[in-house]
Amino acid sequence: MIAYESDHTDFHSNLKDFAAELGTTLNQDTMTFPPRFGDGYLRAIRLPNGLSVMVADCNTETDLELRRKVMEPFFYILGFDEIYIKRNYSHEMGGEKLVHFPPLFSGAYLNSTMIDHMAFVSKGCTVTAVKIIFDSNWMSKYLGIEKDDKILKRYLALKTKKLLMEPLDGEYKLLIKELIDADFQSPVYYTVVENRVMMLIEKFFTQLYQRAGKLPAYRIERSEIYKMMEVEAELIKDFSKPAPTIELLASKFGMGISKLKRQFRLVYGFPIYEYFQKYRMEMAKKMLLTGEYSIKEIGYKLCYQNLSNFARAFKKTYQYLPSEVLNFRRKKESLVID
Amino acid sequence: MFEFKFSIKQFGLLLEKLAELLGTTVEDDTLQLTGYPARGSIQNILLPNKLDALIMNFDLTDDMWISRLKSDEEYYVFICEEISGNGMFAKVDDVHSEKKTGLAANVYLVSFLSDLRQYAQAGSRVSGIRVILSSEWLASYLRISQMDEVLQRYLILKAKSIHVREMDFETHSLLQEILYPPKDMPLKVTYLQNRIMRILEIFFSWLYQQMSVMKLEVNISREDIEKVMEVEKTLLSDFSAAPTITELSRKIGVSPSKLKKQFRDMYGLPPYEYFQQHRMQKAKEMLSSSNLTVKEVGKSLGYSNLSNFTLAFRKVFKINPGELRKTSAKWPKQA
Repeated sequence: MIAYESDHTDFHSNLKDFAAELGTTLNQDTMTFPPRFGDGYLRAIRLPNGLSVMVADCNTETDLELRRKVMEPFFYILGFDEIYIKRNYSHEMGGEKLVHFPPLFSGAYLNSTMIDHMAFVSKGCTVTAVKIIFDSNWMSKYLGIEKDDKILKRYLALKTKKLLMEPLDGEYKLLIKELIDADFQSPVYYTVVENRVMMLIEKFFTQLYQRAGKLPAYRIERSEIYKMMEVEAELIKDFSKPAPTIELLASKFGMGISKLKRQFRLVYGFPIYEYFQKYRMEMAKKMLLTGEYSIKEIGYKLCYQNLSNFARAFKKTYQYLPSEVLNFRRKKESLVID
Repeated sequence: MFEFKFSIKQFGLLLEKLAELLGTTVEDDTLQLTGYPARGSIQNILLPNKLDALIMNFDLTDDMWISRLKSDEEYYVFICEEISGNGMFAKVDDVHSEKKTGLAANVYLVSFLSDLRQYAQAGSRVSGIRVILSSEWLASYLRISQMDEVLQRYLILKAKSIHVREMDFETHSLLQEILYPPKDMPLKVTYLQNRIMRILEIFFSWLYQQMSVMKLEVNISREDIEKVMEVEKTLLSDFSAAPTITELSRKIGVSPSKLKKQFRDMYGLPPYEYFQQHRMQKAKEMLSSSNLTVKEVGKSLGYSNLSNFTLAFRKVFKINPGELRKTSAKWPKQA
């Protein structure tokens, strides 16, 4: 087991120390795991706007125990985790313990260095994570939120008692994917990363404020929320196949159909098929915007046998047709008359 | 005719000056235009990451000439705007863009070292954003060591012609989100900053890509750059038949040898090789992402003889089109 206690509020310094602990060094802000400890990397990025960000994309080959003491002045840490849990993934905050249920945790959470923190990740976990650290000055300047803000205080207080976290939906997952896939060699790398990080922050705080700091009124057990995380991952894992039927999902996860429908909607805000369709169309839009695919190709990739069904579904979501995205420039040009 | 000349590096001061000229005041960083010379608003926003931006959305009630006079400081203005109306044009130093009617939706970068003049007729609708970028800002957001050359090339190109990017769909959508934000946004400034930054990201990603494929010699005249760009456009407009150099040179009125040299200087390859590269790239795309047969792909790219197509493909990718098809044939046949 590797135990590490961080004592910097700058991820870069932490990662340097952690790498030394594992007997390796950073290369271009990145620590590649030595094979006996893991497979993959951790990267600490200092963004132009002053944020410090840690990105993890790895499998663990050893148990990891990561501790953080109470640190002053206080910093906030916003984390996004997508972790396939092998044996154990757990947190301890201010003496309270939170054990995540296997096999999957995909959630966002905000905490602060006002309380001490320990994370335990067992051998064999697959970790995709983004952590962002900032202080109250940054938060005030960039987000216009003050440290004694009522909603923020209410959320942080609630968190330590109930230790609930916001499940990641398809939009969060897409932003995290784009962030991780960003080309490190590209001259616009920092801009790409900063923009994804800022969008993650915008989404998290917008939801927090729209709900006035209250967590969604889950009238369900914590273990059931974790089950919904699995259902969600299963639902949007592959758009090249037809959507799994609700009956299939219900039997796969061992629950009744009406309970499954109700709980999914409570956790993710949409009925199951609508949710599937929303992200399927999001995927279609992303592909259209690259300009690299024809409508026919995208239809195939997203399992539409009939292209007019695809066009109709797309229009229902965005109020414009896929062809309007592709022909946008051409249409513009034809409007220009000399 | 409403005329406005300025050489100011801060949009806040610019708005103040404009307000004074119109006998009104700026409130909440916004200048409301109530009739003359326009109806609508111009908002100044200082973003937390130090960007100074203008958000404009108005209809002109009179002809307008605005001129930003050059200074010797190293600043850039990023312009992303849609203008629709009866007549408009832009002028950088003494170079005119075409006079257009209809809709002009353009994204471009202008250095403060140049004069920028823009004209639009009464009745035009103007909406867009402008952002002032300092060289320090560019250095911290873009890797300037690589940026220098690219930006320089771009500015050379710009100095020689008004080289603008037609607005893409995503930029257009982001612009709409900026102009018409949802009501009751809890994090309004963050919302605006994130969308402005994303528009900048799209532009600079495009810029790098463009500049890395284009080798640019400083000593080609503006007219020649435009002519060669036209040739390049013609070449890639139809893969089913390659125009001859003679045809191309006649079309733009320069000698074949000059065209060949200048094309090579700008795009790094002689015209026919350049055409062939892109034609085979297209073949590869079609093979790996459609369910057309090799023969059909060849035919649609102007090869009536399959073995000629195979040879040409092999020359570029060192592999037969049929082999590529086997490794990437994943498309289900349409029912």
